[in-house]
Amino acid sequence: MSINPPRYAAGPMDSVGRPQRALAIYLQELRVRAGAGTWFVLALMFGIISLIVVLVSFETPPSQLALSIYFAPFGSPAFPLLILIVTTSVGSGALAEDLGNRSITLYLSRPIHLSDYLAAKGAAVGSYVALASIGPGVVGVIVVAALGVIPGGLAVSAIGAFFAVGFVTTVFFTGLALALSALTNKALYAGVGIFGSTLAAETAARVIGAITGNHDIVYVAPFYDVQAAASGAFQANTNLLTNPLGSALLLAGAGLLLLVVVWVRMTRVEVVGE
Amino acid sequence: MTGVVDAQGVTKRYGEVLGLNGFSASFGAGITGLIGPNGAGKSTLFRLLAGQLRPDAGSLTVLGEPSWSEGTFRRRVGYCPEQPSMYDWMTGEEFVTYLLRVDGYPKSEAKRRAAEAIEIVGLTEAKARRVRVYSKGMRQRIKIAQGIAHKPQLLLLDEPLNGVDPVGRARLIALFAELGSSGHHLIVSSHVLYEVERLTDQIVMISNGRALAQGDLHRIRDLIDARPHTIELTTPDPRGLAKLLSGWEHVVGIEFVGPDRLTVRSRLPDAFYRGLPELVVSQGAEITAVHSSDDNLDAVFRYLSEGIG
Repeated sequence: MSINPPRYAAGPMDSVGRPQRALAIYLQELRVRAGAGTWFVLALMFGIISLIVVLVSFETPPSQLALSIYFAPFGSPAFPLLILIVTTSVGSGALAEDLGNRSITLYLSRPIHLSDYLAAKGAAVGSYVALASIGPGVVGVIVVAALGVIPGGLAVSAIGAFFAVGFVTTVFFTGLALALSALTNKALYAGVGIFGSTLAAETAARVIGAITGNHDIVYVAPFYDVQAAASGAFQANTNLLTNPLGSALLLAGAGLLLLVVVWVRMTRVEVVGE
Repeated sequence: MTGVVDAQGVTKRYGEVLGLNGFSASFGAGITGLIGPNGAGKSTLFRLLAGQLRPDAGSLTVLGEPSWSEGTFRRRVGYCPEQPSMYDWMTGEEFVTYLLRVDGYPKSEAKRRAAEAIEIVGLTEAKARRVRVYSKGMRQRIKIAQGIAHKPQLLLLDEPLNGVDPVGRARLIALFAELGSSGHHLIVSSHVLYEVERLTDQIVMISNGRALAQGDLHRIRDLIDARPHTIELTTPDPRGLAKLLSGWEHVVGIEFVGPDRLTVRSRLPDAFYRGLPELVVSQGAEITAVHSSDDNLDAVFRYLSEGIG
């Protein structure tokens, strides 16, 4: 190998705009964030959740078909748990890896805005979380609608409900993942934080709520909030203790607040590495 | 101020720690060496120059624009940080191409420029390999490739020779010289002083976050000529040689530093060197080695640091 003298002179560059530069980061993140484990969980979710949606559609007598039957996937915390697994897998390293290997310095020395960088990172993580939280239900509904099992109007309503619940779920889990990923330079720590904090809040809120009889404390349980929000979106009659709208607003609000934390933290990232 | 980089009283704090403490210097065209020990503030200065840090006080302009701004100067600056700072699961080509995409180049143009930059640093044969299998020298070179791929006017190289083998160092030094002669401005930091001596005479010396001196190395050398120069002599008879040297008027100190070595401090180094052959020939002194630490930047830096301290 040899090093050759440069054959060019310094000069100005032509470049594409901010959206395209952010898109380059987004596409790169999409490529690298999801490993084999993530795809396995996603495939599992698409298999199980879609199957549940299909089965309840077939098993419900045509006269009793209603939006509420599609609350079924949210009947247990298993669905939010799978979403959490995907979130942890794709989100833990989103910022922590850049902080850890100092590649953040290469981004920030380039003509991009911090907001572009964070938006691209958040969009990539959010894409996978949305895929996990919205995709399986929507696919199941499309299948049964295509087979003529349910009327078109119901299908549209169900898809809308899956999108609504999935949206607030995505905002919350994306905010949580990015916030904890921004606080450390090790993806493992971030992953433990994302998974551990969610399960800890879930368990503690449910236990304390049951012991004290204080139902308000259950709002702290993320999975419970997802279930409650779903019960509202799908107009299901459940014995969940929280207000569906309140739970949905709490998820979205907490997610947005966590994104603000990410922003504040990353504007101070200059200290990292010194 | 008309330099490529102008710093006036730049201060940067990390909590209680001062990264830069009223740093003032002007970096001119061509290659400038930034000299200082580890922890002196070199990397802080580079990150300020790259627009990653905001100065707490003072003014810092890069290519005529404030360093902390949304200005266009970042398009004209290439930055090669000291840290690994890379995705090692990418191939060298993917790494440089991706960063050019972040710079704002369309895909085809990014690939073309990446290939060109990789060729310049001599990694064409290895461009399809993942960075994780690169040697440390190859990693340095791929970092330099990403720094020059967008044809910056100013290239910031933070300890670029760190960890590179001797052959690689020689090649990189030749590359930097070529870049400097082809219209680029380079600021090269190092704590290994002889490396910078081989690159340029224009230096800025930094310690404890402050500029100790700047300008032509030889002029800086002149500044300290008033101070005694230290010369180390190796001889089988240190005491005999010390006895002979003690009679010289310009010798102001002699110290035994080993069984066969002594250091001599002289106010007039030229007279000292002129007198040594005479000492050997007429007085029969046996001197097997002469080493003047004053001849390198290390001594200049040490003198200036002591002066400030």
